[in-house]
Amino acid sequence: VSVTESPTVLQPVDVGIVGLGAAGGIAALRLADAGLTVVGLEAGPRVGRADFSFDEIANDIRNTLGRWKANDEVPSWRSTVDDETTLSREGRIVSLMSNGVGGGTIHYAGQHFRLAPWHFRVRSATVERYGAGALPAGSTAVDWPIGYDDLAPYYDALEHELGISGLGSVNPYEGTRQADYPLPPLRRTGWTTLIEEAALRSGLHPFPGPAAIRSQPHAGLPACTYCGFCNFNGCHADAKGSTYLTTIPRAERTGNLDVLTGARVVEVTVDAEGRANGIVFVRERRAYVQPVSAVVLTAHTFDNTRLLLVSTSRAFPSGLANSNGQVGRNAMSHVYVGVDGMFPGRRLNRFGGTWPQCTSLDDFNADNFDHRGLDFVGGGCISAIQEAKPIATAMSTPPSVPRWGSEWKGWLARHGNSVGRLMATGESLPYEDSGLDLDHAHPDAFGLPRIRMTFRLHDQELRRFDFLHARMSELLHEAGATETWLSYRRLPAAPFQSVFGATRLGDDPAASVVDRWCFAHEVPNLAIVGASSFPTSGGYGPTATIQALAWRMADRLVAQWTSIAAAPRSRSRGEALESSS
Amino acid sequence: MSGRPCLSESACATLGAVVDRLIPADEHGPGAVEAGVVRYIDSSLAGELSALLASYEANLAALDALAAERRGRLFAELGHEDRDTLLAELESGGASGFEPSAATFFELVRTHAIQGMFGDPSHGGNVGFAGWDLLGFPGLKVVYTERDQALDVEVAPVRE
Repeated sequence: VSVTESPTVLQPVDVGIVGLGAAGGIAALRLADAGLTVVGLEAGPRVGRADFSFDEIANDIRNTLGRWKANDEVPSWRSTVDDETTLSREGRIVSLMSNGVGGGTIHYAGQHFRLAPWHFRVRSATVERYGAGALPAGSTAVDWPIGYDDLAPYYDALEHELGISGLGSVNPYEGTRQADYPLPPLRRTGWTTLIEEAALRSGLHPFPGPAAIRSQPHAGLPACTYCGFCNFNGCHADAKGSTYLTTIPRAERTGNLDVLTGARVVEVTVDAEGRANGIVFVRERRAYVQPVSAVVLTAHTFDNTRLLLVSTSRAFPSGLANSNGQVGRNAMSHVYVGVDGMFPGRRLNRFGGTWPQCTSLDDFNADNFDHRGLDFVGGGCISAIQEAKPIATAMSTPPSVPRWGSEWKGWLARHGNSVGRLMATGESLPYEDSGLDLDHAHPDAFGLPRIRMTFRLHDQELRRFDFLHARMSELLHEAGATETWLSYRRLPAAPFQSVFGATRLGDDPAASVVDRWCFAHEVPNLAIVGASSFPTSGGYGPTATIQALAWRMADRLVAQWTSIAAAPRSRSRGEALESSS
Repeated sequence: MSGRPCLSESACATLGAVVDRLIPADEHGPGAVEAGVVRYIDSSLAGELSALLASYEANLAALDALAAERRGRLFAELGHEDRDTLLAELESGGASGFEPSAATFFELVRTHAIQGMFGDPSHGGNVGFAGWDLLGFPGLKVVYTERDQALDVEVAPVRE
């Protein structure tokens, strides 16, 4: 796609939101509710039940819901700056994103964890308890500029806004909360109860995982039917807390939000003073400029970063909000650990249901256990999950069994329904030698450079992985497993679903990209919200925290509107573009 | 299914002889060939996986060349034991002449064979639900009840 004609200038609005996903969907509602005029630019289309299928190849393998954007711009990767840059293995998707109104919340698993208070204080809490030497050399781990208490009211509000299922009184490691979850936990299963009982016998503290999936009808939206094709798929029953089902329709009903689908943003422009004043996008091969008084970037970490770096100008020759050279730094992923256990002769019946129907435990997360002698900080949240799909099941057999042939096939026939899986989402620290930048050698279909991720698992991450693996194996054995093994190889580095950092939150304008409210230090009317804002990764999926940050940012933008959007708004008449229905 | 047939007849024969050993027909039911795995891979190479077509063609030719060098025949003309020996050599990465390596190609075919065997039949494989029957996967059920998720109960499969 090449755009040569000069862009059509549209009628100005108060706020332009780039990416209507987890964060954009929350911000849109708060801003529209406050009476600001908002345009939401979304690269994908509107999707709904007709776009979803119970098809593991289409969803988990081919990421069909990423076909409008993400699949065409998979980032390249290298482990270190001295390593060769490659597109992902076999040219296939590494980071599975869904595109469309709702963004990643269309096909997310829907685990909805708050970060623990410790996750906001990785550096100071570690130094206090274990000394400065406990953090690895080369790590850029810092405390967040805000703490758990700053986000707690937003976590509370979100749970009610989205209809989160869970049980708030049983996880002793959770931060304080105002009230229990609005909906009871998703249904318990034979497998999740088996692990719960084993964990209790082991002196651990299991609890039903919080889920952005409705266990009961709520706010006019239906409940989960436990179909077993949930993660990497949109919900056939509209039972997820996805923003396209919850906050975005409400925002549109205010009359203040125009949603433009198929709008691929390629640049954020600035005026002579370096204030953001427009968003350039391509839609049906035509270019447009949306004049705005404030810009909110709420795309994936990869695209928040990329849009800043490609938006060069006289005021920002090295990329928007990047005069300090911080955009792209401190990027990290998670440590993902999957462990399978064999329970001979048992039917575990894990095929149906949904991942967040899990039993989870935080005994090995954050600083909830003594790290002396372990030589790593943090940990991860462990969950016993349902939703064993057939290809994934067949892909994981123990190392004691041949990997193909009749013996392998016979093993699957005997034990295919006797394998239980634990998954852990573990902390990964930021490091000086990790980051995102532009890969000019591998442009995408729009001619924009892709993002390149420089990232590898460092020694602490490998030790954290091994530690979680060992604890998960013990738990499986306590539950009756006779053999355990890793569900997936320990990847050397390849980023997976979640990527954090690169537009770091911080109070120091020289060492971070956005302030504690998620506004760029260098561009006061530009907000950047997402996992890209996280100074450290946390030991859970990020969605709840992304959304809490988005809500908090939006409240700030509304409260400070006259000062943040102080520049006189252009009143030049532009063209009207009909919003997408 | 995502595309028209695209591998040559002889390449398909070689591929069939490979996946037949990866997932053989036996007392546990139909194997990859009966379940349409060759059709799954071939139609994928014509569509979603077209970027891998050249690699498949080159590596299947390399496998035939290896069979010719060792046994003087095409891979598909070899007996089970000889085929298994060569495949084990690929798996361990010992064989040369493959791009980028024998082990990588082996993993690719194994992964695609499993996808074809256990994936949704609409993609051309898992014919007659052979893969799902093998695993005891209940199939596409819009609703899983509490009982369906209890331990040690038998869940009646849906096969449509």
